[in-house]
Amino acid sequence: MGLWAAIVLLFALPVVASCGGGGEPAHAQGGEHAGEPSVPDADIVIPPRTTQLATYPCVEQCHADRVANPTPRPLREFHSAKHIEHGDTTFWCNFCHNFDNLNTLHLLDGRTATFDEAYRLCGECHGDKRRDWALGIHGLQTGFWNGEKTRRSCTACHDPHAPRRPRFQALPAPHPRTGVQ
Amino acid sequence: MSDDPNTSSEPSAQELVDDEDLATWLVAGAEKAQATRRNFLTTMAGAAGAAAIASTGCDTRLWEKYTQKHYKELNAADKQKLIARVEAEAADRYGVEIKVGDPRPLPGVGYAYALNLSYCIGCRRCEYACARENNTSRDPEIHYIRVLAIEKGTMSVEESESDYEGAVPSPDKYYMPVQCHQCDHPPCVRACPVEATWKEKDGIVVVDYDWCIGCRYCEAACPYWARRFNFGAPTIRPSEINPVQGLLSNRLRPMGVIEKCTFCLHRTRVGRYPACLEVCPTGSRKFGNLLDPNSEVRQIIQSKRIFVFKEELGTIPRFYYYFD
Ligand code: SF4
Repeated sequence: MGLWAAIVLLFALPVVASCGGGGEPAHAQGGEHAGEPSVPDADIVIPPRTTQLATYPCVEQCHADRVANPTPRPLREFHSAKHIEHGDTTFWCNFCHNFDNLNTLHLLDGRTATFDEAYRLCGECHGDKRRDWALGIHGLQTGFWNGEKTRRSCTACHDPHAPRRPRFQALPAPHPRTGVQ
Repeated sequence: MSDDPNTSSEPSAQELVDDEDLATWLVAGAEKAQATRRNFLTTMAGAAGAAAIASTGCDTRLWEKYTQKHYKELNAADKQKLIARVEAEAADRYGVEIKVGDPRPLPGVGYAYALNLSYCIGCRRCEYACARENNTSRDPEIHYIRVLAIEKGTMSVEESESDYEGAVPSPDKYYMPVQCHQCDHPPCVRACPVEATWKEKDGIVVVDYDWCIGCRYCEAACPYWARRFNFGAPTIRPSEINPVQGLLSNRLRPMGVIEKCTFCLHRTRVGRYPACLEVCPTGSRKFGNLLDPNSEVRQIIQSKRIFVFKEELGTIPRFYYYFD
């Protein structure tokens, strides 16, 4: 009996210990996104997305009197350049865009997120990446390792409609000198 | 896609390497360097002694250069003199105004690097950003970082190639950038016969360019092929010189000395990220303070399966790789 207890303890202990270890830094929890993984610290700047979108705000620019159609179909007139290569064929606009207010996105539980907060939406499926991103280990971060940083939100690098990144042209291989010439 | 390097305003690879302007500079730079050496030898041959050598500004500098003490033996005044000389030399040789600093290790900080091999696509942006930041010679070409393309499903560095070209990532390759690992047991430091290279408190291995005799023992000792030798007088277009320089890092080097990655100590010791990290379009590169439990590298060590390169050699690198 005592032996079994010891064995069980031996296996249980590291599990308990590792649960406490990883995850979010304690100082970045709570706030308006309670229940979600942490929002970034105060010294982290996330460049806004809305200022870079040519057709934002969507409602004011077009959708004030143009009702979005939730039926999947080939788009000919508007958004015809959009090409969804995400989530096989199951995604349609309203999977992420909030059709009640097209200036926002909607989360799975009905709450909304702004276009600047895409990480809240993406993180609902890509939880592992979201967690790494919150720790500063997924995605590009620039600035100061011991101070203010710029952290890119998901959509700065990934096109949300086709998130797989295209291939790049490698810069040329260097031609080092390996001896006296 | 604002951060896409393909569309950014950075100079293209062609602009970086093929430039008529540069060709002119290569010749001019090499001639000038030769003339300076000749000048010094003639002066010495004249046997007029220190007094004569000290007669002109330029000759004073040469005298100082050849009687320069080891970095660790410099007091504040010596250091000021050295900085003034380095700045004057840059003005002389390249006609540029540079600012040389000597940031020292920060207390309670030990640096480490982590690189995600699942994300690196081998685009070599880091290599070129490093060259720009660290004023490495463009001809002969010196890059501190070498990106190895390795067959997927293998870990065979021996069969890797570093001279791949074209679109990346290739579907059957993964990419492993290698640079100085800032080992805690650095074989290069032990190989140096004159103690021109050593490990600093924050873990960075540095070189005293004035003390290095160019024997290349350290280059042979390094298992990561991380040291580079200036076989020729380094040439670099004045307009491309990074004027923010560190005495032990990216200051303009002479011919015949060894150099290496210093984790951009002139940046990192004032809190900034290294240049290779900031340019990486995939965010594969992570850097930080190993002694801070909240730093990015510590989070990676805690949550990923990391490994070090050539662990069996016992070099204890501060450079971690991982797949995730
Ligand atoms: S810049 Fe980033 S993705 Fe490109 S080769 Fe370097 S580490 Fe890899």
